[in-house]
Amino acid sequence: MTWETQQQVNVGVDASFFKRRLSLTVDHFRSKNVDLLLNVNVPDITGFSRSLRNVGEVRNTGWEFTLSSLNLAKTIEWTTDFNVSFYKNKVVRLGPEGDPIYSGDNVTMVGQPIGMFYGWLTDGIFLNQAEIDKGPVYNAGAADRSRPGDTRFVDVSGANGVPDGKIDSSDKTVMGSPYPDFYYGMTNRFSYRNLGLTITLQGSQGNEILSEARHYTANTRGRYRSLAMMNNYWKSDQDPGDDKTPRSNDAPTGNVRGQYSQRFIDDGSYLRISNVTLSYLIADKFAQKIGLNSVRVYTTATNPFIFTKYTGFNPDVSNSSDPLRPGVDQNDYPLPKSLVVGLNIGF
Amino acid sequence: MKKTTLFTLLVLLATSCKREFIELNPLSTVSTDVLYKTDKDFQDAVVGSYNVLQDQYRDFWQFGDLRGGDARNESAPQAPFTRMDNFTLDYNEVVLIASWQKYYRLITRVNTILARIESVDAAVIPGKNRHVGEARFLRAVAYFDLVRIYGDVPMITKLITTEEAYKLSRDRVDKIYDEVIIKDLPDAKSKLPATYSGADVGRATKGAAKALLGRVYLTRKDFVKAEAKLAEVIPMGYSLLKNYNELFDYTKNEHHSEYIFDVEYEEGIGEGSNFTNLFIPNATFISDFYGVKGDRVETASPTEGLFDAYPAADLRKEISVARGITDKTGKYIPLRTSGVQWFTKKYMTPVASTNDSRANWKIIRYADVLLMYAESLNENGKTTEALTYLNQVRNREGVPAFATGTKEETRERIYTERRLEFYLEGHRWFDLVRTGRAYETLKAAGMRPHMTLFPVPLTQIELINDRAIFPQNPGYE
Repeated sequence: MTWETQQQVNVGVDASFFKRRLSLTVDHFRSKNVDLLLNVNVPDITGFSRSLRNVGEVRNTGWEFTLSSLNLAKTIEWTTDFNVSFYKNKVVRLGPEGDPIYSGDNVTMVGQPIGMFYGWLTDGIFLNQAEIDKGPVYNAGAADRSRPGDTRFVDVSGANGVPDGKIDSSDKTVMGSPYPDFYYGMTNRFSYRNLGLTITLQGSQGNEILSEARHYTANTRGRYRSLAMMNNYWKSDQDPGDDKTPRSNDAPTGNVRGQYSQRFIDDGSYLRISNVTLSYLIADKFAQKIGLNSVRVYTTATNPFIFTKYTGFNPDVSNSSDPLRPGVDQNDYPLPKSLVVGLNIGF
Repeated sequence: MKKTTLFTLLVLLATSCKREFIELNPLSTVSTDVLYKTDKDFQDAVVGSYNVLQDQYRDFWQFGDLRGGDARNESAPQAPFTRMDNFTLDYNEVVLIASWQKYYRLITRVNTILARIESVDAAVIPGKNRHVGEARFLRAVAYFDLVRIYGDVPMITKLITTEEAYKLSRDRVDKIYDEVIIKDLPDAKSKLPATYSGADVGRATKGAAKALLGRVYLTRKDFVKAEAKLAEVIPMGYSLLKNYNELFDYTKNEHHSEYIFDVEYEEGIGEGSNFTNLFIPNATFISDFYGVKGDRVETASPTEGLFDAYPAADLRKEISVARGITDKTGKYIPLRTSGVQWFTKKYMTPVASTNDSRANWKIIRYADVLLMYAESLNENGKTTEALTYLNQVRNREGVPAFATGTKEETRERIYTERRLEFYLEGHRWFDLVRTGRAYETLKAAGMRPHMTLFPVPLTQIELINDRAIFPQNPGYE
């Protein structure tokens, strides 16, 4: 085993315009990580389930743009800082044989980014027996075979590498990406006389989330409270609900719960207003009159708003400790919203 | 990006100082390189191997009994138990993944002991014979379970590297019997003591190795060798306890005359078993009656079929299963008057906190040896002789002895006797499979013909990722 090594090239441009009222930084990097050192699953027959190994080579490229501008500089002062970054990573080489690394419901394979979501693609639900007869059915003939109202998976492949009308492990495929097209952030500062206002926002666009949390919060079991998205489920041929939510069923059939599938994938794009601060600096004269140097009152709202289609608590789930399992939501603790009213006094 | 920068810094640092400076032995843990030197080290390593078995056997009832049809999961549907019960589990089932892991962890620990002990001066290791004997006994237990659960599995008897592991194929069941199990057990037998004293009681003995080898031969339908091997166990001094209920009185010494080998559990020191809490019905008057604190999961209740299979006079029935309790005032209180009305009583014993029961899991006891011996004799055409051993077991249970019987009748009677004697002791499913009766007995419960074996965990198949050497079991692809 050896150290992981990284080679990186950075190219950047700093420019400013209009008497420095507008400045722009562009940064581009390309890096290559060789002998990638990762804690990966190894066959249990070694007596261990995971082991640190040099597993391959990954290339990263990225563009980062930062824009700062002084929009107004009169009685009202307004500045904007904006940044946006685009990152891409790609596995070039993996282990001696190039075999994919399966970690939970993520897969790391040559030619793809690290830790793509891996599972069954879905194609709505079986609306009736006629559709079941058409297939493809999970575990045909067995007690837990697909029934009307169960999720229909896509027959991607088979034991011989071609679709075989059966749903099994060979139908698992890359079903989503935890990586956004871009991340962005913006801070706006306004000031007018003694009044100040700062608004900070951040977000990501185009990433997906594998919600393992929905295994519990939307599990079709019918015994627990579920997310509202499950309300309009399949009930019968005549009342198929929204044509996509599987039936409610305590005993698992059709493998609607056993495997992670596209059903658990969500758009993870979000825009969060992460901070809003309004402050007022009380006039020095007044402050000195009461024996103080300065008095500032302010109110700060942290995480007051979020705009997202994601059903879980927090779409910013990139906090997994395992780099091979990005973008997985395991009911991570939600971010708190807070409102602080404060007083700054200088003696 | 930050992480990688830090990493590069570390690399720079590392090249600028001496090797010894960065290659220190951790203080909080011991690495394998400094261990395996003294007799105590090897003794500890053997205990570490028993430890895996103790862990694994908390789940063994699921294979041996829940799957076997006589025990049913009656808890509010706990999906994994139900899937084991009604044959709907697949290659992602947690118990299958965990069992595969644990058996190979045990095998790796044993292989490490066996490899390391050879490189140490024998004079330093006075207990060498016993360590090797115990290690090989445990490895035989692990492989015997593995081949009966998964069928063909990689046969590993030495230390391997991770790279090698990716190239190993699933070896034939017969090869594993011939080259490991049937080699390990005789060697263990020759090296192990017949008994232990003091704190060592509970370790594998000569008798355990012989009796298990007998079971291995019986499983392979090698009745001649089974008969010969089990005949060696009969005169070793074991005897049936006078009363069947003494077997399940966990407040007394569990290492009695009928004990041959148990997986050991002990309460109050973090080594308890989960059986009492798992099997007790979900009714407070029953847990109060038995003094059981904590969970009442009701995962293995007798099926009505089993309940009815006991003859009226059979003393085992009241000890193994029940419909209710008789309280101190002599009043009979039924468990329930509707729904599931019977429960497993065998593992009831006072428990102070959840899953901390002192109840051992019996891997092999003398009644088993007698019935296996009777079965081998009968298959070898010695039916009359077989009946005397069958009747030894029946005598204790208050049921009439069989004076005569054809070979076929006797075979069926032995099968039934095993079913009633060993309810929820990990035998039923494996007995049904080895005698070829599993499918006919369990097809109504959802079994299909290929299900005599369990699927191999998909995670392992994907890691090896070469179906030519490491395929899934038929029917589970």
